[in-house]
Amino acid sequence: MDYPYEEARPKRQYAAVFNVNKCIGCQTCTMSCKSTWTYSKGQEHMWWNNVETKPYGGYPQFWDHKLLEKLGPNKWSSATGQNGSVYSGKTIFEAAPIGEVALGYLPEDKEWQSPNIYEDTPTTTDPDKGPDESVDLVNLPAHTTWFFYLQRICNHCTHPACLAACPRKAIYKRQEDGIVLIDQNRCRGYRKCIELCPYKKPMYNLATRISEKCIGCYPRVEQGIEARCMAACVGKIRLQGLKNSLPEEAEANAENPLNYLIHIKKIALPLYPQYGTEPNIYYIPPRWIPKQFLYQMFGPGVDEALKVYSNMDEELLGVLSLFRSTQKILEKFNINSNQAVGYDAKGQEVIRVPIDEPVIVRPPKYHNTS
Amino acid sequence: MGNKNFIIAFIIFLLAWPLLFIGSAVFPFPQQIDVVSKRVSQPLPITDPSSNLWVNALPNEIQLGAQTVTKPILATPSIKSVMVSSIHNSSWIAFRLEWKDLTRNVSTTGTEYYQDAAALQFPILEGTPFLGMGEEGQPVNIWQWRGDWQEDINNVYQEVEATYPNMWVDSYPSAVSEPPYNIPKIASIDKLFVPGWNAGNPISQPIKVTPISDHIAEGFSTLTFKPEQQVIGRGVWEDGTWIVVYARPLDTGDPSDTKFTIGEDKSMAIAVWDGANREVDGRKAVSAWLMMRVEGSSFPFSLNIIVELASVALIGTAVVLLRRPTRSL
Repeated sequence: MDYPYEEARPKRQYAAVFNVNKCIGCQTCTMSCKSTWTYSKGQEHMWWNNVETKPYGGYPQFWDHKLLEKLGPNKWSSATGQNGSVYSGKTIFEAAPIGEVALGYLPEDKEWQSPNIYEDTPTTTDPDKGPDESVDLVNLPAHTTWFFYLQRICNHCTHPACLAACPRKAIYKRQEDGIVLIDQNRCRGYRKCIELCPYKKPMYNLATRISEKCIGCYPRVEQGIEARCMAACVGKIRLQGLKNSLPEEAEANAENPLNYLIHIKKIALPLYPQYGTEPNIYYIPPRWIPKQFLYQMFGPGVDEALKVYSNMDEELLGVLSLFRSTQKILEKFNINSNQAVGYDAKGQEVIRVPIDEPVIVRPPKYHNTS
Repeated sequence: MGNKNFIIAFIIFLLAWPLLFIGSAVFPFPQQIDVVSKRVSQPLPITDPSSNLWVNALPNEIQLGAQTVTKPILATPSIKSVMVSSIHNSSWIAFRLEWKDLTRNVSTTGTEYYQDAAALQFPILEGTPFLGMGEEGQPVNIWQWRGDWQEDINNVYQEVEATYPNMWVDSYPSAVSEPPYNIPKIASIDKLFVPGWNAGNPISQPIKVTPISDHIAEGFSTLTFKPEQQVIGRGVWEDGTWIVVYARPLDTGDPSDTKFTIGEDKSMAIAVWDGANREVDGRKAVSAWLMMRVEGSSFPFSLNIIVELASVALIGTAVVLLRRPTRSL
């Protein structure tokens, strides 16, 4: 891959799994990040975390449509991921125009407005019927009329396009946790990072005239606590931690919940992997969405991921039960006798949850409705 | 005239030739000087680019081309040429740039807004390093005039409401102010909540003192603000033309500054950015290395002593040798 710097993976990589199936679009994650980091002058338009309704929504508007169109159609060796599919197309680095490090575009101010545009706006795959008329709305494997919420933060990519884009090396990736940061002293507001990030997560501060981006809540991560947007999730769809960067190391460290979900069970997939930056936020794909859309967005692992997700064993269910059980970053998990136990980096138990919740029937005299 | 005098003249004549060549080789005849900083005796017109004092210095038109060595590359920058002139008064030196730019771009308060700018580059040490911002061990001093800083100084530090005058925010949690509230200015917000400013980035500093930023660089991607900002000046746009004046003491006493010495030559280069064309960083119009000279006195000729003496000796002995002998044969 035509990345301008040598491969240098961090010791551990800040990563998260988002279960798209469970997101209710409450935007609590969005507001928690906003009220922690981006409420000052010049940051009014910034949403380092955003939740957009697919297919039409996007922040900035049509960010993915525009780049996918520029990149053009590209192939994987196996669309359905059988036997490990290999991308044979161009990443944004190979597709770079002459004189550029990668393929991209600069969104203008107005594209950052209305971050929740097209919220809850469905599309339909039935051309003869409108969304209200389609009778088989909710049949699986794919709903005829559908939308879903896509929650996005900076992916703290392994090969960040923003870092490659900066003409003066003002962006760096931390060795200890792979968090990617814009040096606020060194940035001169050239905005090449905004132009070339395929996910459009660096943003321009109109008052300080330099660029800013999601900082991975690194002060929290340094204390062993999950990021704000993760901790605040009402629907309990998010689990964040520090995974091993190399797949083989991750597979060898299967007790780490992120390694387990991403590299062992493979139910969580990267966003637009074809861009080539190796993003580190992984998504359990929504079950009711037409597969073609999901292949383009999450790559060829979709079928396998959904197969495993739809038919999970007690261990997988246990790990998923640990989502949002604690704010502490879990380094290890253990499932036994209907309990999921989570341990921090020091090996201390921090949380214990039942996998099958006990069912309790309230005696009639305490009913409040009869 | 006697034979003895004849022989002496002839020997001097023979010796003068090698001296002439050696003199030319060691101290070459004056090369092309692109910018002569003319000496004046008055205080320099630092804030008045259209001052009469500038008529002392004939401007030279310098051609500009694209920067094509390092990414990002813009193959077609807007500005094709710039007029440059310079004056000094033995204490301060000033440069004047003039170029055509149809639009006055002085705003950087918008994701797609870039400013007009122009910069001068000088080597700090002897010699001429790589044009692309110097090289390791051979630093350059870069003075960049910026349109947005000029607007901050002419007006007030431009913030979000400069682009969005109808925006309203009742209060920022981090604003340190008293009612009645107007939209707080950055300068009234606790620095802790203004990351660029708190990190000490001069770009984000709301109090601008000079529109010209003073830098040092040792090659691509190393441009750094100098702790001591020494350059002042002003830029004025009128009817599609920018005129910018840069001024600084000839010798600031800081070894990391380029030093101008009267009578000496120095390389310089010019870069111009057109904000309307989204030019910034390496996407700019640049000149080649130029040669500038700080004029020593009003004597127009350069003094290359060895060459002058050798020339005088040659002419003198030639005259002696060619004179008809006065004695009769």
